[in-house]
Amino acid sequence: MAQSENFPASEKILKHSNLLRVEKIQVRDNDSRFTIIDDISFDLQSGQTFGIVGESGSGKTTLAMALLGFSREGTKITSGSVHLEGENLLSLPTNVLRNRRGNKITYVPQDPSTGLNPNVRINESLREMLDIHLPEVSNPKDRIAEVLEMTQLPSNLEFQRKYPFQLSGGQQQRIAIALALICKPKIIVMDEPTTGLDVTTQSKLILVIQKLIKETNTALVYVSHDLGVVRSIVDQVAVMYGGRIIEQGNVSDIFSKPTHPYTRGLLEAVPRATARAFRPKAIPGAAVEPWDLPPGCPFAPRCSFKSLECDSKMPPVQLLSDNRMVRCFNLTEASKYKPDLIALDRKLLEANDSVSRSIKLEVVEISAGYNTFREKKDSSQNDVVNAVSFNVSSGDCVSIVGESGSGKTTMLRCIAGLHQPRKGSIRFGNEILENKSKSRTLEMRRRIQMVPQNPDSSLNPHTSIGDIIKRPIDLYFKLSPQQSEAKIEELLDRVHLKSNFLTRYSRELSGGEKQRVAIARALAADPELLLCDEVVSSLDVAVQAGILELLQELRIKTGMTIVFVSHDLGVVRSIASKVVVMKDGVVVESDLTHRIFESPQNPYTLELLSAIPNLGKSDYPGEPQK
Amino acid sequence: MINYLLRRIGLVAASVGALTALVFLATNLLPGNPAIAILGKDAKPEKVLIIQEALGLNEPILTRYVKWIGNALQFDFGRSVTQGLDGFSNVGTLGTPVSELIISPLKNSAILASVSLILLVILTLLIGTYTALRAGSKIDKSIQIVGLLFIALPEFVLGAILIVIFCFALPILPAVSFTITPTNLVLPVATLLLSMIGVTMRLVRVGVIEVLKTNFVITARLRGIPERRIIRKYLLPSALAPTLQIFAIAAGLFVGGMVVVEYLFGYPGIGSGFVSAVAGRDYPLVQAYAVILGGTYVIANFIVDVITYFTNPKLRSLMMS
Amino acid sequence: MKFLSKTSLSTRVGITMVLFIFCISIFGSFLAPNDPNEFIGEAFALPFKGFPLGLDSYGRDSLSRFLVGGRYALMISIVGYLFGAMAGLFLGLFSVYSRGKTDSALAWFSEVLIGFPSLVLMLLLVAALGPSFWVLVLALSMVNLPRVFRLVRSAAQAARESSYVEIAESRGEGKLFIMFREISPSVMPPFLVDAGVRIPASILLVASLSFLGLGIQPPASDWGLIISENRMALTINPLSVTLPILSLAILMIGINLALDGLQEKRKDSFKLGIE
Repeated sequence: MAQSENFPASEKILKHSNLLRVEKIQVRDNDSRFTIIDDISFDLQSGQTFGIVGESGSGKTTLAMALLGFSREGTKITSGSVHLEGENLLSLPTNVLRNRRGNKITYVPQDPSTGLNPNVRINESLREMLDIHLPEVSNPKDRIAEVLEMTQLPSNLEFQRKYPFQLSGGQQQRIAIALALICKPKIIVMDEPTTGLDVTTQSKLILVIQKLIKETNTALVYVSHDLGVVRSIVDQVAVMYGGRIIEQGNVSDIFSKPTHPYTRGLLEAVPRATARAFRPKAIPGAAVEPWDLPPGCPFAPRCSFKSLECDSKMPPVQLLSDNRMVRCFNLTEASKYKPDLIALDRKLLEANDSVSRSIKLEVVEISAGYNTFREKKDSSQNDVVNAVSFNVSSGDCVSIVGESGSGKTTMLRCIAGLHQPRKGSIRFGNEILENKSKSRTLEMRRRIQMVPQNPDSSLNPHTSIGDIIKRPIDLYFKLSPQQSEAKIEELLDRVHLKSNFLTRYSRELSGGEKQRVAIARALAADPELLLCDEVVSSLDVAVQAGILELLQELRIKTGMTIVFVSHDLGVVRSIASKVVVMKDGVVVESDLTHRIFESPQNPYTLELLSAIPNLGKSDYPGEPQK
Repeated sequence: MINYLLRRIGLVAASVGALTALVFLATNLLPGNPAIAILGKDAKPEKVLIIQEALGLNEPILTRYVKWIGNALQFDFGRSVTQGLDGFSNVGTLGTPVSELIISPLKNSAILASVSLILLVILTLLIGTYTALRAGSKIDKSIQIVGLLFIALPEFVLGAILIVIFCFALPILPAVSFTITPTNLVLPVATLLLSMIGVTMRLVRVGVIEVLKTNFVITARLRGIPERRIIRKYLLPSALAPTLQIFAIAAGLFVGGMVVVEYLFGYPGIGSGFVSAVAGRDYPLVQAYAVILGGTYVIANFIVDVITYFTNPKLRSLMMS
Repeated sequence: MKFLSKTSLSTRVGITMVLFIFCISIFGSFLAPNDPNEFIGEAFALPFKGFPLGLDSYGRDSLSRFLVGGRYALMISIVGYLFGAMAGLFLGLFSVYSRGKTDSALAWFSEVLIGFPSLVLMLLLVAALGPSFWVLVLALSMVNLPRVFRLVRSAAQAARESSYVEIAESRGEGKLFIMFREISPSVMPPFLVDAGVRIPASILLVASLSFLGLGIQPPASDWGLIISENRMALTINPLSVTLPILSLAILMIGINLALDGLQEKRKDSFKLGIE
């Protein structure tokens, strides 16, 4: 949508037909030390859907809240305007603004569990909205029931009288949507409502949202980091980076013919579930934080096309067509570029059918659970893993995939010796593994290493990176100080971190860097088996691709065997040769990766696959090299 | 639900039991023969033996403990060894029963404590919430500074200052409170109140600010809910539990403060009674007072837990399942 | 000392105040112009030459009594704190590491001990053993132990459940390694802050005990004792009590200012959760 000052005449016409007009919004921290978002402008018509895509640090939640004239503690909206039906929300007195919120423009927060008042029942929350904004409604009870049905929730009294904590995440989120719809607003702003939900719950919720938008003709602003989800919901999309909108247009145009280097990089990094797959490609570097913004284009430090101007000036808004905008100095360069993609090479991933590959890890009928001291020790009622078996050949990567509650993490922890299975056994090499890691020999512990899920809690914040990596070396090997040092440097190099990381501490590192350190620590023991517990789940898409590349590299170069746990089938496709799908503690399907994707047998696998939001008939980036 | 209550009561009983054991140990196991302490160092050995016999000090400690507990449950805490004695001439009549001695002080302290506590709770909630809602403003900052001053002064200093102001400079209140009258109560209550309020108000303020930062309050604002309603329906219910916890913790400070305040004003309660008992090495009396004073914290926590349980729907359903 | 630059004005002022009082306590005896125990003249005499504060209730030099009044309390507080805190630290780490029944039992026991208001516990021990230096030290240790234990335990929980401790366990690291190398660094900051609060608070406890006549015994000098001995003459010659009162007040205000400053700084350095 045109919004620059080059079209003053049409501005007057647009003003009246625009439902929402956002102009040059800027949000800074209270002391004005840094800018969180800047120069944000776009328009929205009735019934239109608009997506805002960005990674962490891009400012998208700040923008979402600013649309309602709200800024979080410690920040304030310093300039710009938000015209809703002709009225500037930012210039309204507080009590009038409050009237518009929840009524004309509403907000659905990211985290469902903390967005609802835990102290009141569902129907009281819903009733409250009506009492405050639409007291003249004659039959509030009918309206409440109506909005519950719209979000595909039960509308009976028993359900209405529940408290939020009695509902599942998906249900809580629907209540949040119901609260946003009950006053029949003109615009609804949704801030990543599906984050944190299981893939199957997410896809159901997306269907609900799609139906609602169509039925009520409410305008929608949908904020997300997930390109696939955005693709399935909105028509227009704006891509944010470093607090700026760097590209904007029709969602099909943008996703098939992106122009900005960042958008291109994002699309190259997203794991694909479609047939023509390629290995996700990482964008080097890490997402920029608001207090660290470079002068000039925020993406410049990571951009492969940058020129001198990029480092000193912010590229101006460029209109590519009536509906398309981008901010970049080097579009022609970028457009000429053909991405260097590598097809998912089945041969590299595949387990050979030949017998020469030995079985490294054999899991036999493992059952494990969490019995409290009340239950009998061998009671099976609390099992989260039920008679699971699978094999991993030497040098292969096998992935265990499942949603939360599937038991996949518990299974991994059993292999690591951190959880005692109730029944069954695990063989490693030719030996049977002791259940408790304490009972295993030092040598055995050395050969199996684990990389945990959460980068923020996997590294001791008080120990320097160098010492973190050094400890396993000291523990497992008898090396001289010089040899240790050399080994540490070599390890850092292997995970592609510079040696100046030795003296740094985990709080100074980004998520991706922390994961690399965790991997280096695991590698320091020269293990034969690497256990990865959802190691990329909390990372941005572009960084995620980098870690996957690293793991693949390690496997090929050193013949390391890897067991990779994930909830994301798409991610798994690029590194695993075999996939074990778990649901409710049981293996529902276990097969070679390409067969799982091309011809899944089990209905649950099919459900998982179809729940992956795909990027549609996206041409970009084109045919990968064979 | 009954299960929960029973379990909590069991825990309280166990805690009080451990408390009594500690008290008993402290007064009986540690070196220092009570008989000698009573009679003085130059007492004749026969007299010491007689006293020891009378006090039952010759039996094994476990037996003595059990006997003591058994008696205590029937409200017999033994007899004082400093009060009501008549010169040891006739050993048969030892001092006044402790249970008699503690009744009146107990009543007095209860009055002092309840009045102070009620005022404390009301004022803390009012000031704490008020300053939290206007955090950072001038009035908030000035109240904080005044609060700081009150925290800084220990009870006896605060009391002394109040005495100077209200008893000497403007002689409107009495400096000692041997009898329980409303005027006599003013200064002790004021001292106790002021010494505690700095701490509790600050904690409540922090608690309320924390709730204000939570997502569901922010979301409520984004839904256009007016501020008054947010305070009533969102803030207070969530701030209730932490606030109660604060008072449970403050119970300990309160009791300690009460001891000093009673002593300072000569108020005849269990605090000053305890101090005299300690000074006089009146062990049975010391034991009884120590158990009562020590038990207050446990009881206070129990009451807070029960109230929290009943006001929090989440806990209730968790307990029932 | 590069963290000094990170502290706010509040903290710096607060720490200065506390240190100032500590200095008076430690060096006071060297600065006293007269013998604090010598009877000079009439009780509560107003200031005269050589005696800037006049005389106290027993006719002794108020200034000298004040200057030596801090050291016993300070000594008792520091020693009592050290014993109690070291034990509390070790037990706290051990309890968190062990988890399960051991942890619950130790926690319950410490709750019972905490249940005794500090003053009452100290009075109880004084009742049993009499008011002497080591008894007061023991009493303070008993007061500090469970409180430090509770603090350490709550600070160590997060570290105990973190992934890096789990990784260390899976490597087969021993109990002591995990307790001291992996968990205790997380505990140190709140522990040290707590020490900064607890030691001055202990001084106040000793002063309270002395005020009640059951702490430091005459003829030794202690601020609480001075206040107790001289309170009846507040209108005649308040000078005998003003300095002890001021010192205790400065001590407590200092702690609280320092604490406030720390809260502020922690809020500041927290990077806004933008996304």
